[in-house]
Amino acid sequence: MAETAEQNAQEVEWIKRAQRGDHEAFGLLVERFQRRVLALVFRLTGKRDAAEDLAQEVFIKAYRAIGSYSFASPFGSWLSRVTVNHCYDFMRRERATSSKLESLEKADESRGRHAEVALSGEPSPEQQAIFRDLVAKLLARAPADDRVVLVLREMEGMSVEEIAGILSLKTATVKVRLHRARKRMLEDYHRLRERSE
Amino acid sequence: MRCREIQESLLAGEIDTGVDEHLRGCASCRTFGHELELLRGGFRALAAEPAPDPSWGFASRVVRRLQEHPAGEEFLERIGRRVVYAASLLAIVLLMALALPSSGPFRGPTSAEIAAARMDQGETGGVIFAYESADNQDLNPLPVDQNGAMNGP
Repeated sequence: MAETAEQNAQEVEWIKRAQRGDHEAFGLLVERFQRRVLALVFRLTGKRDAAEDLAQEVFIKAYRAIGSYSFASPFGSWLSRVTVNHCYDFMRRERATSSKLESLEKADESRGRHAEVALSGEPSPEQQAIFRDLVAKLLARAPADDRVVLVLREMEGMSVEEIAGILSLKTATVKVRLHRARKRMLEDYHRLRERSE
Repeated sequence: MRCREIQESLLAGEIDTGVDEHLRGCASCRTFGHELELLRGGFRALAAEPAPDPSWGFASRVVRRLQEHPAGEEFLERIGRRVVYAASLLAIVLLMALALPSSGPFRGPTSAEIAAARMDQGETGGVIFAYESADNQDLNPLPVDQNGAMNGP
């Protein structure tokens, strides 16, 4: 408990120094949060190779905006917001440039595999692996809005309230988005299955 | 409860006794719930995958990048780029306005069109118009006959 308080006091000091333009203090903040930011970037974008470059851009953006951080929420949540916003932009750009055909082709690779899993009982480890790949592909095809709420809720395990805080939305809006995203993903899954049958 | 409501509840993750009861008797909703659960399992499996570790010296590289590109420099670069875009756009619009012939229902007739119309109506009687002199351009046209002699007042 005392360690956490000490850690927080240290964090506050680093933030204040970074707000005054101290690069070294910001570097200490980067060291503390780098794993968390990198993991979130990876889960949101699904791109292992690009994750580190994107995480670096997130920290640069965070430094530029650190003056606006008012200590109203934990620094980690504020940083998550910066991360999500940056990944949002990246996903939109990616979606605009990458061919839809490509993702369809990729999804085709798993045709026939997931179709036979759907109606069986408790999934085996192999079936779980198949569904992990399938979910990764469905996520890659999903709109950026859907992807963000699904990753934060289902993979990062955040509460609806936390997600609302990060996305600056009302909790009711987050619930609606989550509901819609799950529905769309299931419909997309059905479409893929129909094509494979 | 109807299947649609049940499936909405399943999507929202709300499973009460009414839903449970319905699922026991409805194969279609059971399949829906099962598929949803499989997707959630897929998410869990995906979340369990280890994320990449930051490479050695990640934080130092961020700090170096901050030192190499101060905020003001980036700001100016961004603003400068916007000014260039805006100026280019304006130049294109101006060029198009100059290059394209005026058209549309509201333009007035050009001087060539007026002259042509007058010629058609035989108003000039074989006389063309010229200005009095280059120095004194009061824009009062004096008729000039075909030999070049001015027929001034």
